[in-house]
Amino acid sequence: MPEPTASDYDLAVIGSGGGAFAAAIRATNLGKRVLMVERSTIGGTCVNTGCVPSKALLAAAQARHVALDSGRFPGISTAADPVDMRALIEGKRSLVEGLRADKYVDLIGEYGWDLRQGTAAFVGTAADPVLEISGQDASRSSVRAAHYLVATGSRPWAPPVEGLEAVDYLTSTTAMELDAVPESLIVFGGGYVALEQAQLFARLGSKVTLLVRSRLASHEEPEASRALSGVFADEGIRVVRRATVTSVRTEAQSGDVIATATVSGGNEEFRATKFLVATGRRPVTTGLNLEAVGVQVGDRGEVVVDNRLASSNPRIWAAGDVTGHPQFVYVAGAHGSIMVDNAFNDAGREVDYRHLPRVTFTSPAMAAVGMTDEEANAAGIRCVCRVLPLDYVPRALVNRDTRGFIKIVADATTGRIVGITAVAQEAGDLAAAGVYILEAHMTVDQVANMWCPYLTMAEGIKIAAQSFRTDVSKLSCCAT
Amino acid sequence: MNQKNTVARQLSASGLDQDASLWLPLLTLLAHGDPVDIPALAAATGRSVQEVRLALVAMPDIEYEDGRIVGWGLTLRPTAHRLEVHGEQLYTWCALDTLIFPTLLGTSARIESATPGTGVPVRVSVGPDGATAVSPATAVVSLVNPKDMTSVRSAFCNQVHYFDSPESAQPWLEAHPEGEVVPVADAYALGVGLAQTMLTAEATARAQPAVAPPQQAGCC
Repeated sequence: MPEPTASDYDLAVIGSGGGAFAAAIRATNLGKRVLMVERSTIGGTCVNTGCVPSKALLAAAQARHVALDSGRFPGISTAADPVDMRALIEGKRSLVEGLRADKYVDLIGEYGWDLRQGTAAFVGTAADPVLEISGQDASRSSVRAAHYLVATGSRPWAPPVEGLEAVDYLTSTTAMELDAVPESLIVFGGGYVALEQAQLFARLGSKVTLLVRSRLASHEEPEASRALSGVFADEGIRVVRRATVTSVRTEAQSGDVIATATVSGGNEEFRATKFLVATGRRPVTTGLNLEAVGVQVGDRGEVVVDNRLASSNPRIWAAGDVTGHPQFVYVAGAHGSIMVDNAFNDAGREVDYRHLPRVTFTSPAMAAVGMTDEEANAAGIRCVCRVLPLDYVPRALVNRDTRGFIKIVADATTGRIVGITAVAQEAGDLAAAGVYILEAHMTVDQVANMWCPYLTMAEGIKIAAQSFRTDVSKLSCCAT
Repeated sequence: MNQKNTVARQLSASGLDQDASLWLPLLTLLAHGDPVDIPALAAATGRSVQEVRLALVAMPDIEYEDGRIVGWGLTLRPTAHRLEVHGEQLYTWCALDTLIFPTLLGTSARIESATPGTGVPVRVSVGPDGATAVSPATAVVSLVNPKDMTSVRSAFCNQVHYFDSPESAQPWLEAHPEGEVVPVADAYALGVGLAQTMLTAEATARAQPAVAPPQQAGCC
């Protein structure tokens, strides 16, 4: 092992995604000396292969879908040509590069922390951890820091399925680099990545089949699954529930992928030109040699952390997807700043996901904050719920798209709202409003009597709250 | 309906030989796309769990998975006949079922089936305006009317298919001289008639409640 260099930092960050940048910015603002180590592209999952490219492509697909779906408005008739996938992907690439430069790369110089391109691994002992960095030019260096942050993110994970490794399957990352729209596509999975990718490719022109083990978005309200199933059916996406994929193979003659699945005890074969695995993401910790420095790793490879984000080694912290916590970039960002406050200011800040908003950017979108009906019951809360179909929301009526709902879960004793779920256009904005409602401990009566702008989708939250005491089918415009 | 459709007329006259008070609630539950447990079916029918269990014993074709019902004419288990209702991918035991169940469930539906032998798909949309968007327009449905319906599935369902054209159905007709093929529109009219007869009978029975023994499974 080479001799440690003279480098000495307050914080050494492994990774360069949302959590890593939040920590580096916070620590730099506190006057700390920060080193960031990245083995690949600066920016991590969100800007490079996750949120930004997927939402950019979904927005483009939405534009095409709106053109094809204009018939619901009397007197409007539009059409859409086939997709130029090369141009679309190139446009996405350009957008990503711009945002990566603006929001990540350029900030390093502006804040003034050090960046090393290379692969990091821990050496030394739990009492004296050292980071060894292997550069892309075969150079090696060692770094000691007062604190270390593991912010290495996650990568797509594929379950063990017979034949899968021999199939040239897609992940959400590689699917968004295709240079042609697949004629047909099987999406394996039912979580938020699967839902977004399925609708994206269907709207670009693929014939999409979703193979789902239980139901769509199985952690959310069952009404959300049903609403999205209906939307997907309208768009020609076939959703096969209760499907356990048992084998996958490539047919030599056609090049098609053939997946065999058991469905409710029967067997069915599914065929498509491409097969996309979207069965979740797993933390990236392989090769970090965490065991050597006393850092406990969980069954899924995650760095086990406490509520303050410290690992089992008090000088080594973790942030973002690598913790196994909810996989949202805003969670990673919060982790980064919490970790720095705890490491350098002994702030004792803890993560709290009770009012964490969750959004799936389908169209209509699915969004939620707080507890589902089932979670409230499991928590011992005697709850009362209302599910408001969008037929009662004026914004949806003028949009001529009433597919979806808004559901409120409230404590039956106090009326306090403990959860909101919506499937609606711009449902993410409803979840953002929901965060404030839950944080303020508001009751259904308070929300039912608040100001709310007419003809906004957020007005639906107010109407759903009114439905606890009023027959909303008899409401007049704006009358409360 | 084409008067030459003798099998269709016989089927129309015989009706759906099912215990509608049990079957209709079960269809409604299965249409949600999830397995149905016996207590849920009992609650939906207003019977005791024991009564429901006894009635189900007489239905040899019912499909179960882990003690829950997954199919009885309408099924969650894959067959050649897909029936999409409210976004749920369901299946049926026979082609005619796909044209009966939308009326029984009071809903529109999208149907896709495969021509036996060739696999050529047949697609049909069913809604308030009847069977629309039949593709290909030449598609037909095969029908039989067996005397022994001890197992409705093997006796009837397994012979009732979609074919993309009368020509495609010719080998089947040669193998089943007692059967016939009818255009999808005629099969749909037959299905609607059977469904409406059952719904009317069920409504009448509900108006005049009477205890009737479970019936042997008939036409699915």
